[in-house]
Amino acid sequence: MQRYATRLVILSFVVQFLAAMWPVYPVFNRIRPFVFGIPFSFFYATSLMALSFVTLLAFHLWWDRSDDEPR
Amino acid sequence: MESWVIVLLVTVGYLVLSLAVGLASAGKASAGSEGYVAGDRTFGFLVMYFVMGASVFSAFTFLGGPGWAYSRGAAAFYLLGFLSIGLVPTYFFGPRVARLGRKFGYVTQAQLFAHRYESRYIPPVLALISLVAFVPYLTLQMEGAGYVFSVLTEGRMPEWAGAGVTYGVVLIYVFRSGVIGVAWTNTFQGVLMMALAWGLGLYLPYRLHGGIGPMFARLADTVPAMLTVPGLDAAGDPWTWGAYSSSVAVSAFGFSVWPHYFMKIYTARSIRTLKQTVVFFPTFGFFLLPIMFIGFSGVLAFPDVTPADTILPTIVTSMDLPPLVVGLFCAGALAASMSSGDAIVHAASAVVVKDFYKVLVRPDIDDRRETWLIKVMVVVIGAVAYYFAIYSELSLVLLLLLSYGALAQIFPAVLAALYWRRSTPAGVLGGLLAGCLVTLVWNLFPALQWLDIHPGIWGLAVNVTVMVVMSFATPPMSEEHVGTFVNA
Repeated sequence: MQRYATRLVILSFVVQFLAAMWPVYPVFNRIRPFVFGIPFSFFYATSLMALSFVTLLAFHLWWDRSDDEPR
Repeated sequence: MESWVIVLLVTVGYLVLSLAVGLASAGKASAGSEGYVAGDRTFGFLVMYFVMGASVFSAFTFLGGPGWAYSRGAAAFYLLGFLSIGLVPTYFFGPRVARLGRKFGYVTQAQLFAHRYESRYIPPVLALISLVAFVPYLTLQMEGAGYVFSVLTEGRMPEWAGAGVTYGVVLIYVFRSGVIGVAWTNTFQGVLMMALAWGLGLYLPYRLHGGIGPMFARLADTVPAMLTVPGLDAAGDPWTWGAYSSSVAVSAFGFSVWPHYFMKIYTARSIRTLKQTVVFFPTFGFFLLPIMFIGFSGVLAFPDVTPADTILPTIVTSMDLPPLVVGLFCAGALAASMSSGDAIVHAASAVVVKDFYKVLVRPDIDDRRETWLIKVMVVVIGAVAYYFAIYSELSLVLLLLLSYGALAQIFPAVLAALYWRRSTPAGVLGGLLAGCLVTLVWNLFPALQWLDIHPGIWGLAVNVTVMVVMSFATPPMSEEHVGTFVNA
């Protein structure tokens, strides 16, 4: 289970990494609609940062039981 | 009282406070090099959070970040691109590094490699890569500090004096207190920078354009090319996707292995603390949003400011703000410069002594003398960077460009050391050297840069190929020895 979750989360980070560059970014690269007053392209980059934070936080809190203290 | 005097007083007050915080922590760690360089491995979450966060937010971010948004628009989003995932690898390899560090007493990055690959040659190579990156980086921090003083006193205080006073303070607390001094001051400086960035980042768009929404709406009508990636290049022409994407990639690969961040892995109190720090690191990245708002707010209100990096001080000094606010801005800009500069000068000194001098010249040096030498190096490296900042006409831009590409070359080596049993000393050393050489050549001959792809990417491709081929071509290391690292 631990191994499976770790692989899944690493895969998700590879996807997030690729999402920050060509050819994925161009899909979301538009000025409108504005979200919270900022252009959509800017909002997309910010969302990726939020997603990375939430992904690792969730993994850390719920699935990562590998090593809580030094052996 | 004239307003510039009030500004100066606030700024000097900040410097005095930084010095007090840095010196108050002296004596909290043991006297040996493990205390001076790794803080006896006792840092808790809050301190770790600010040490990692504040080291990133340098003069480059505080002055260069708005400068990028101001002159190159959405090109600046690449900072968000690599900061969001740059430290993630540390979550996975960091615990191994921390456990090995505790077990074998490492305090630098290269000590891990020296032991893993039983090599005398890898540490000096890593030390050299680190220095090539650190010295120009530190030089830029000093130039930033000098500039702040010169602007705030309306030219009454020359840049050499401003940089000298600021870095005099830094050298005193780093010399006296080591990494503990860096940690405590970074916590103080980090809070100041965050408050200031959000304050200015929300206030300036409001004051100049009536809010963030109206500001971007005006920009969308007048300069739409600035609001979509990849934005503009330094000359104001459209930037390319190749350059944007590969800059994100090289920075992301290099980020977790920058020696002064990597060394902080050793300072964590526990594995849990280390992991929490990495988890919360992107929250520090949100600090870049107001930084970019500041730059965007200047595009229509203050056209044609050159160099672009001076846009923030230009706005602040030309808007009739209360002197107290201007003073706080200067303090924040100095905090950004100092919180990176202190970590770098500290790490560079430890690296020179432990990975260069001790490995090649005096393996039998005792710990007391070694700690003393590191302290001397703090002053020497500070002086070298100061020379480049103030007196040298030599342009450091190439060196700086080179350093990002060169540092990224350490990333495959770290993964190989901790995860790939079959990797050998010749493979890793060959890969590092080949990767750096390719990065250097590609930087020197821009004609080779196909699709504007960052030289570091070609370096990484060659690095990994050479590492794999040479590792298989040389005899494997003993299973038992390798197991110590791969199963750590």
